[in-house]
Amino acid sequence: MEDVADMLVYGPEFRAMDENMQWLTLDVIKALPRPTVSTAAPLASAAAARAPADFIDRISRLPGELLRNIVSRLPAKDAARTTALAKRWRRVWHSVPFVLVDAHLLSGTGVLGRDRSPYRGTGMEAMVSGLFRMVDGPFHLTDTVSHVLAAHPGPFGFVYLIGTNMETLQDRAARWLPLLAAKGLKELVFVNLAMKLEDKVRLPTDLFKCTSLTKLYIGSWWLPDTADLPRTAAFPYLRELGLCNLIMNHKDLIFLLDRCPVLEKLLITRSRLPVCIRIQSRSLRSVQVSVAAVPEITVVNAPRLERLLLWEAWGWGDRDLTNMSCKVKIGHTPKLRILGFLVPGMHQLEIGNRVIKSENDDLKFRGPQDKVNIKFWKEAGPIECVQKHIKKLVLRGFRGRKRELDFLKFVAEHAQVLQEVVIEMTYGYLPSDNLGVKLRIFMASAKWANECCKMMAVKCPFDQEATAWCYPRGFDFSIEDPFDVSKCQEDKCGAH
Amino acid sequence: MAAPESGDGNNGAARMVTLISSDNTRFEVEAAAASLSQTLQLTILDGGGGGGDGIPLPNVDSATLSKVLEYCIKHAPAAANGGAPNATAVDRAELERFDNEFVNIDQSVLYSLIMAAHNLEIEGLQSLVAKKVADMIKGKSPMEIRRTLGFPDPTPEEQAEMNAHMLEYGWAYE
Repeated sequence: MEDVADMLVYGPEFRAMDENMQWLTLDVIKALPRPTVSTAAPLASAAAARAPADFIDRISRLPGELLRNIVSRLPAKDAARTTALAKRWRRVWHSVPFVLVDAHLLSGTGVLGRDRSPYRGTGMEAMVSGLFRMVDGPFHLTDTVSHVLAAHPGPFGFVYLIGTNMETLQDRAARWLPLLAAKGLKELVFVNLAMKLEDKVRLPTDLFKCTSLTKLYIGSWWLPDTADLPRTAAFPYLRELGLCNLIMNHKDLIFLLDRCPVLEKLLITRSRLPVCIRIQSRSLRSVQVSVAAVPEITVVNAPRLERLLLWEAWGWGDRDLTNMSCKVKIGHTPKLRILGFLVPGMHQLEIGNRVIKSENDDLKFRGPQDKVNIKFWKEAGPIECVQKHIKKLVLRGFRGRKRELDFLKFVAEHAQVLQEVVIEMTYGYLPSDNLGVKLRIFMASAKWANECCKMMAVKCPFDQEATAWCYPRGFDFSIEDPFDVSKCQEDKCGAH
Repeated sequence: MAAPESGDGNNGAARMVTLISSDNTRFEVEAAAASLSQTLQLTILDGGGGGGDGIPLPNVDSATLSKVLEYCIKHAPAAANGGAPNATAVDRAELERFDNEFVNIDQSVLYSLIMAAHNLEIEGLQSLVAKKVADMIKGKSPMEIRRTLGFPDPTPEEQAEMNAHMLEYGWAYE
């Protein structure tokens, strides 16, 4: 992701934003799926792989299928340049599903003229090309994108557009969508590079013409009034949908979800204006809601839903700032296995007809530094769930406080079927630091209810303000536990 | 599928199979490693390749096959674990280091490898070599790509076509 974020950070648009907007913009980018191609070339080392000096073009003897495999891994500019090698290579590029990441068009990988500068490979290319972009002005990228989209006959595989401010360039950008629709685009990331928090740009309704989409992420738009859309508008093949920093109302969101009959994965993040989420879907398997104003999440009927992951998904609190509660109502969800993070005092859980509320109101709206009754678990009497059912305990943000240690010891000494305890150090600490030593010394005196239980301390792999899991793992069903950070691919997941 | 691949390994001794290269060299490897090849997997599951028989591979010479097997042996444990998702970060980093080193080889070997991976349907190896060649192409002008990949010098017609290309695809050269 680094190349994409770098290109943006050094651009003139990003520099013109205030700090909050810069932060929000980077956050939106982090939520997007990683592009399938990159300008980075870690395996390049041409010296070792030099061609024999006999000038026989061995590569062109490979079957077309293998050449396509190679070209499909190239960013658009590099891929287009291979078509200059020979007629056969032109056919190869044209038969590979087209991939475009607009940020790559800004990169300092130009092979002629000015960008071919001494800055190449110094890590400063992004900065230098940023300076050139100030000279070029805002139309340059938008016009280049238009050229590139016209240059490939299709079909289109993956198009990633994040570098255009749609407020000023709406007319030009609006022409892209019909083109993408005509070329059968499969995966689209379409973000408005908004300059101010209050920017409101309507998402062009032509997006609904891209009916071949299987994956769609849209960011920093105002969702159009769906009442104006044709009743047949739908994304019949869409499996993954990301809604990032959108202004949307309840009824338009319902319409959108209703028109995705095979949708399996839904991400809603950075929703600043309150919206109630209502899920009624025969196909959804994982829903992730993070940093969003959601007074209510209702899952009416979702027979395939396995995961409902929440992170700072709270109510609005517009009338009463002390009431940011969010109702989570769970209806028919026979396959639901993962639900959370639930925050006591914030989330009111209703499963079927049962309402589960935190009885201890002291917990409501208190930071960790406030004094609450920290031994409530001891007064509660035997807790069956702890004694008989808990198999795994993950404690996040461990700071080595007395009450954290007391809690750990309590669980360790009562949980008879506990198999694994994972303790994630608070941000910036390693398990080998004093904090980890303190933990091990304290726990050495515990009389474990299950002596075979394993305890492991890990470092926090996330940014300080980030979610406690990465979105790609939340959507990866081959992973049993998306919260298990010990298996996280550092710097390879989106949310880091 | 039917019986698990490691079913024979219950006494500690893993099941071995023999592969025979085009130049008649015999290679004995664990069945689990050879099974990374989709082409061989069915034969091996069927009990083939054991004892004195061996599986002949008329398309792969011994130099290439030994390289292919080096890859398979290294990747077999991870593949047996059902792929990467639940592997630890340390294991993955180690495999990545191996992969980077593994493709740091002469180009003629690289192309034999990708052909063999293609014929034997070893997806991981095919991707690895394709990624290597793609990385060699990235950030280069057509003339540089030609030199890197060992194309002969362009004829005047080819040169003219390359110039025309530059005009047509100006955006790709910026």
